[in-house]
Amino acid sequence: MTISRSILGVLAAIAAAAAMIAVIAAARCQWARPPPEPLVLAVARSTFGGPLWVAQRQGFFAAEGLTATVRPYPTGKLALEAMLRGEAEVATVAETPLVLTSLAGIPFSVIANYASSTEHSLVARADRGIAAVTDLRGRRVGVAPGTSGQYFLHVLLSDEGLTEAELTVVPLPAAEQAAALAAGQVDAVAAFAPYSGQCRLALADNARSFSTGIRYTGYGNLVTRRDFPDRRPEATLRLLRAVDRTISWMRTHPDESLAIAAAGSGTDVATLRDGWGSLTPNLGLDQGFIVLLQAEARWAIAAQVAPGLAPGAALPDFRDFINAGALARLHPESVTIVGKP
Amino acid sequence: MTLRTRARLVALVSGLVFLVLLGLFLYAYRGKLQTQRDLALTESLGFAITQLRTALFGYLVHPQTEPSDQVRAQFRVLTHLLQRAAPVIDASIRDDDQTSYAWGAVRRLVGESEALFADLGGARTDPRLAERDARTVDLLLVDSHAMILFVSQIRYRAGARFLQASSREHLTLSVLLAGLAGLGLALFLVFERVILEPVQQLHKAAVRVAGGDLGLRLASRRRDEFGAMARAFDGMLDRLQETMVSRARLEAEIAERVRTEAALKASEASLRDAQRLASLGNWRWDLQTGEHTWSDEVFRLYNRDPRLGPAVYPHIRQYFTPASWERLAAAVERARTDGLPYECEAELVRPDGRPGWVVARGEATRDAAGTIVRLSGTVQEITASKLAEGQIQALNAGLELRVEQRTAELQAANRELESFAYAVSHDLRAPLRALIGFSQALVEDYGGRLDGEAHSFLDQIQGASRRMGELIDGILTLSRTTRGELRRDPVDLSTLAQELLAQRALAEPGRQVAWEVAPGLDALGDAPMLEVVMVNLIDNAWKYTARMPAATIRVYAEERAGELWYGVADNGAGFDMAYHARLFQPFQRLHRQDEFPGIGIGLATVQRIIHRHGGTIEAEGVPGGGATFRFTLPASGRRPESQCKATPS
Repeated sequence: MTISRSILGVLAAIAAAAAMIAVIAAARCQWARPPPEPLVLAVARSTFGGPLWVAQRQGFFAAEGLTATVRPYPTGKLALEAMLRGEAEVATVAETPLVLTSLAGIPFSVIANYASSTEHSLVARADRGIAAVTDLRGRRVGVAPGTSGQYFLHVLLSDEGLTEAELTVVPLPAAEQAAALAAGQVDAVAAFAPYSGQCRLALADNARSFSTGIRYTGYGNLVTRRDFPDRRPEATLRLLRAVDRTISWMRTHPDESLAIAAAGSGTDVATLRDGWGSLTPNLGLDQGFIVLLQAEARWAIAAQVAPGLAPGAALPDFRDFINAGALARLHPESVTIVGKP
Repeated sequence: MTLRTRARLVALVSGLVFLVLLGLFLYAYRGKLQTQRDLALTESLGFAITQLRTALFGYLVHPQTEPSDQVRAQFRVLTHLLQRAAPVIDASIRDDDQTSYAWGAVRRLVGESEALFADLGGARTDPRLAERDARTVDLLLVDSHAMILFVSQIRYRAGARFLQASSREHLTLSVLLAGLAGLGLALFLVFERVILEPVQQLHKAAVRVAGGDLGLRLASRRRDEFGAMARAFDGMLDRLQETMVSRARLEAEIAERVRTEAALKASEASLRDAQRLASLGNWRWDLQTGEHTWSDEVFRLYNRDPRLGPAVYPHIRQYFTPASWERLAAAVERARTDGLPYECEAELVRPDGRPGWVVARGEATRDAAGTIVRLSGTVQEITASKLAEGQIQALNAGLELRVEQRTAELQAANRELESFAYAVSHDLRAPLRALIGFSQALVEDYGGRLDGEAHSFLDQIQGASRRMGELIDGILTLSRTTRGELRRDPVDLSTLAQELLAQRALAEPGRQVAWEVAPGLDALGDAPMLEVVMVNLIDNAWKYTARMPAATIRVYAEERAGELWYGVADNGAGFDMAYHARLFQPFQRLHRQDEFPGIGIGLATVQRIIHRHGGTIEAEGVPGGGATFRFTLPASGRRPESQCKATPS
């Protein structure tokens, strides 16, 4: 029938056009695909390191055109120091080591916050009569110096009207905290996951946990050397894209994400689970981060946390340590820092 | 597919296409409405958060004068708004995890901010909590800031979705309009192909048929109403063409019939003329109905008024003499009863008394069962030929009488002539013998006293006497051929010819003559006479080949037109055919005496013997090329075979 032939003709023309468009699109994709960029990341074995382990394990780095090498470090502070030493190009680290580094006059660039967390907790020995934060007076409290655990301890104490001077703060590397607490070398430990979990496991029923809740929210950050974003803008953008994909995937695959993060941080799922539940992955650069940096800087100066800091020293302009270029290209609505163009 | 089915199909497809496109458009429009609701919600939320911040800042700047109730009231407004908008929020976050996260963050921040605000003011009672309050204020500032930013994110994404939905709506609207236009075009094309084209085709065909093109056929393969109409149209044309062809055929038949009738009339006229000129009439008698039919000529032959109609058998006897009728009636009866055809002459008795003869012919016709149903025949006048026949018979009778008389006279004269010739010849021999005898005695007895000239005279007398003797012998022979009884005996001409030629060869051994005699030349005739024939013909051949170095003589027979001809041929002097008529006349010669001696009576004798046998003789010759003589002998023997034989050297 002639109508059938007409319809068939139209359909054939549409199919041919679609096939041509598909071929052209495929060819463009193929031709437009740039060569993969190599990237070395220093990642902490903490909950903040979790998203990066997920990205590596799920192939999001490769999918975004990165040949990523992920190197693990016990804490973000160590990862930052490794990056500054040149062992890596990007580090994952919480905000406290950044504040101390900036106060030390060492330049770097935060290209994005990718998570926030209220996971920090103080694990105390009940047998030492610690039933409340105020019971810490005169006790030995272990903390990894220069980490977010140290600032957490300050928030916890000051919220209760205490100061670090009323107790004995014992410098204790994160990896050794559980053993020291269990051995009774300290009465309590201010820690972050997964070390806080290890401490609770070590004390079992003897453990008492104290948290600041929403009153202290730490930030997980992607940090590079100062010149890196301008020198490797494509790699920076690909990294953010990969992390952005990872965060989306994690919101829909929480259990798998936890398992991957536990494997990446060298611990088990049970240990990591408490801290993991407090982690909120989200890509952004917001004003709350700057406010927190400033608060921590004021504390660091007042408490003389870092050596060589003069009392009443001026706060640095933390906006100089922010490079929002790549994130502004990816998610302009997520860059909300006041006064940062 | 019929037009009705096709129309239903088109309507169904059009309806489905329209519904699908409309559904797509409504879906897009619904999406746009949804995003519009999202935008309105974010606007309200943004407004409420701004109100909260204003109240919060007022309280934080002037905690002593600004009541905290306003802030708490704004928190309640915000919380109520979020609860009331929960369905809208749920709908907007369904497929967008960033928006979902933002909504979650806003809800969380509202709750956290309210809790933080509740914690505020501890420093009023305990100065050690001043840092805590300061940090709480920081958190409140940051959280409220974050709230606004998250709402901005939500608005930003809602705006993006609104733009997408609007684009989608415009696109679907365009597709809908394009689809409607396409449907219209498709409907037009369908209308054109399914209805307009066939109608135009039918119209053109009708115009051509109206113009006389009856051979046109639509031959449509369509299965719809137009196909049926086209087939009906073709059927109508078939019948119309048949009608036209039948009419043309009818007219042609009429014209043919008119021509045939004219031809028939002409033929009948010709037949009548022919019958009249030939005096030949025909008749028919239907034995079952008794009806008689005569042609005009029959009426004329019997001199009967045509208005009376044919005379019915047996009343027709009035037109025949009793004797003729008796023969004719018997023949007619045999034809009626036995179906035997007849032809008999009959003498007429005409009312005007004119004499008349006819030949009446008749034959019977049988039906399928073999019953004789009809007699038909002709009547032809033969009066003139009958009268002429009588005259011829009378003339013949007179002629025969005269011939007999003349023959008798001729025979008497011949007899007298032959008697005279015989007597003359016979009587001439005595003085001739005396002349020869006395001249011989003169030479013998007085030869010594006679001089040379006397001797010469005597030789001439003796030569002339011998020649005269030969002449007398020839005349006697010639006369004998016409006299006496002619016998019919078997004669072997081959043997006769062989003997004669052998004798000649023996007599003249110096001659080189090759002869050929066909064996078995048997003839039936008078033996002495046939011997005379063969002696004369072979003598002539022997004589006239004397000057040929390689003489040949052939005796043979051949069959021409059913007759057997005997021939004697030679390659001798021959003769001029211009003088052919003189060959067989007595004493006529075509050659000089000194060339070939002779008395000129031989061939005349031969011709007379052949004629006496009832045969024919002919001669054929060429001067210097030989001569051939052929003759026939009625009731002769068989045809011989050729055989060659050379003369002895």
